Amino acid sequence: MLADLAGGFLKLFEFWTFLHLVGGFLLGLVFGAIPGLTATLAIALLLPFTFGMELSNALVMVMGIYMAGIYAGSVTGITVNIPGAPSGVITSIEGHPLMKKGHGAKALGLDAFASSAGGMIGALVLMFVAFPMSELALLFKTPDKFSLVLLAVVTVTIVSNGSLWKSIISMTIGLMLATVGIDRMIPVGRFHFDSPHLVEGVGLLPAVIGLFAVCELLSQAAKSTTIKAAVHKAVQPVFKRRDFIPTFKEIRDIGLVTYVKSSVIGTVIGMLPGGGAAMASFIAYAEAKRVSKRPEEYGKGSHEGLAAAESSNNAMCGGALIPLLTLGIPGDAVTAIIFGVLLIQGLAPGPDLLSGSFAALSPMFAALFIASTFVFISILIFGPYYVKITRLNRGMLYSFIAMIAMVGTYASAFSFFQMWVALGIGAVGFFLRAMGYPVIPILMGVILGPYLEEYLRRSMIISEANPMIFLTSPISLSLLALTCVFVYFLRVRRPRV
Amino acid sequence: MFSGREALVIGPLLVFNTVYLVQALDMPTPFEAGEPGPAFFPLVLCALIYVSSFGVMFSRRADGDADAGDGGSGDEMPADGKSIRPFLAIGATALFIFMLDTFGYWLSTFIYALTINIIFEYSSGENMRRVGALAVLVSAALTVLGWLFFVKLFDLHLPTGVIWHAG
Repeated sequence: MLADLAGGFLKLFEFWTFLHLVGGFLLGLVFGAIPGLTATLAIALLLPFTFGMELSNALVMVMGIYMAGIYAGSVTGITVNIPGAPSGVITSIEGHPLMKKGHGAKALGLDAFASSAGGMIGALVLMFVAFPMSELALLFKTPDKFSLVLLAVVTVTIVSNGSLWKSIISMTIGLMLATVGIDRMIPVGRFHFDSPHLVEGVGLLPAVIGLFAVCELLSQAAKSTTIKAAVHKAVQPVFKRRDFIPTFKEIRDIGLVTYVKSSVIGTVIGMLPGGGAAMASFIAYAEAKRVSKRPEEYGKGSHEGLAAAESSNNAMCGGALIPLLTLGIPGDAVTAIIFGVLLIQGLAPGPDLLSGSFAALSPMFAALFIASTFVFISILIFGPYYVKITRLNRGMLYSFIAMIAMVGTYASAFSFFQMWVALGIGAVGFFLRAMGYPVIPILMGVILGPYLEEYLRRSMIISEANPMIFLTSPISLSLLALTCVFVYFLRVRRPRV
Repeated sequence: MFSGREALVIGPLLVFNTVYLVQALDMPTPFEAGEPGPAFFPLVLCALIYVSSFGVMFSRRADGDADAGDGGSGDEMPADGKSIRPFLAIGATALFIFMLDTFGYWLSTFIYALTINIIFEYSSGENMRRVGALAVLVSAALTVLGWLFFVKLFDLHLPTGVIWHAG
């Protein structure tokens, strides 16, 4: 395993692989820093192009986008109080007051340092926990796999904000879309209305492009003037590069414990289905405040709160990849799209993946670690220009996104039908979103639906239609109990931000 | 209680669900041959949609619930719900798909990029001549950039337009 990991790091020394990592990182920085654009969208746009990429280059680029995108979500939160992504909301609570006090560069420097530390810890956990966990996952039998997928489906449904009924409808629509096409167990077509295109089913790529690129484009079109006005109203500060470097005293005041504890919280939250960066930063921030010697500083520019939130949300990246690579369960939108990247590259995420392809995936682990170090380097290079990113011409930006999304969808299968599917799913997604229905459960339904159905049906066949099979297996029973615990804590006794 | 706004989703959803149900009922009955069969899971999903639709219609929370926050994607309600821009963007994208086959990549992409650019940049009170001129330049640049990106970098084939090859 260690030799494979070393091979992964060495692979990054190859010119083209390194270039893909840097390219992905820069793309993630831009998409993360611009309000409305996210790492999810950047990876979704990249998805069609991964068809033609070498496996390691595709994975390395995705890791660069992921780490940079999660980090950069906090940059505009600090500078103009408009977080580029939900993961930056907590950071802006502490970072923007520092900015208003004239310590913006310091806030950005501490933010980047914490992100780097958290990202590295999360990547290390991924490297050393994923493989043993995948061996454990090999013990899972069919009913256990069903209960595991059910856990993911239920958790992703209940963590969405708003009406639970609407979340259930969104998830069910996704599961229904997954039933279109040839049945996985008996070779009969379902819900294809005699269309040869629909016999193949609803592809993951048009679903991703529709729900994340087209839907986002339409949502931004609806509110474009609001953000534009807010960004242009903000004062543009002038920073010098040396101002971004935190002093040893500042880091010591925050404390090693804060960095490590927040990173561990972030990694664990990342491993939970539906966790995500926003939840990770909130829980780590709340914990840091609870044990702080200076709780009165929170909300007014606390260095400790800022570091806790940022270490946690970047550590989440490593954690979120663990269930994807070991169990085949994507826990959030980004890992769902990474699931698509792996499928496109001919790799099936699940318990067998790491035992068979650890060496092939090791550049991905190495890239996540190296991308974490890039975060701190990037603030020294690009720090003075971050505010200007938000002032990019939005027409140019969104026409570029629209063009890449639609032409990319066509080019992935040379199919105009795929473009119609992407537009249809995007338009419906936009409408549902505007009416208060979350869209992430739809994508998760499309991805997890085939597995949920297959494991359910296989279990029923094995048990001769006796549902007690799910309660007699200790692993399945534990997972069902865990599902109930999640429902209780995430919905019944829900934490409030 | 149930509002007209919720009916905009629930109405079409129930129609869609009923069509889906009819199709599922056309398949072999579940457990007829001793196993769940291809209709079992779809029938469960149909039931779930009917129950959840009633849940939305009769739950007090659903009515005022517009904050479908989705963590990772910044999935919040658009600030300007009455804007016509999203519908213009849908129309422009549909037109682009129509045009791509007929007129090929160059013309259709330029027009698409230009339209999206104007949709995003247009707002009353701005100098439209300046916005328009910039949009033309940006769209032309994006079209060339896209071609370099898809064809030269990724070696992908893009439509050249059937109209130019006719006759």
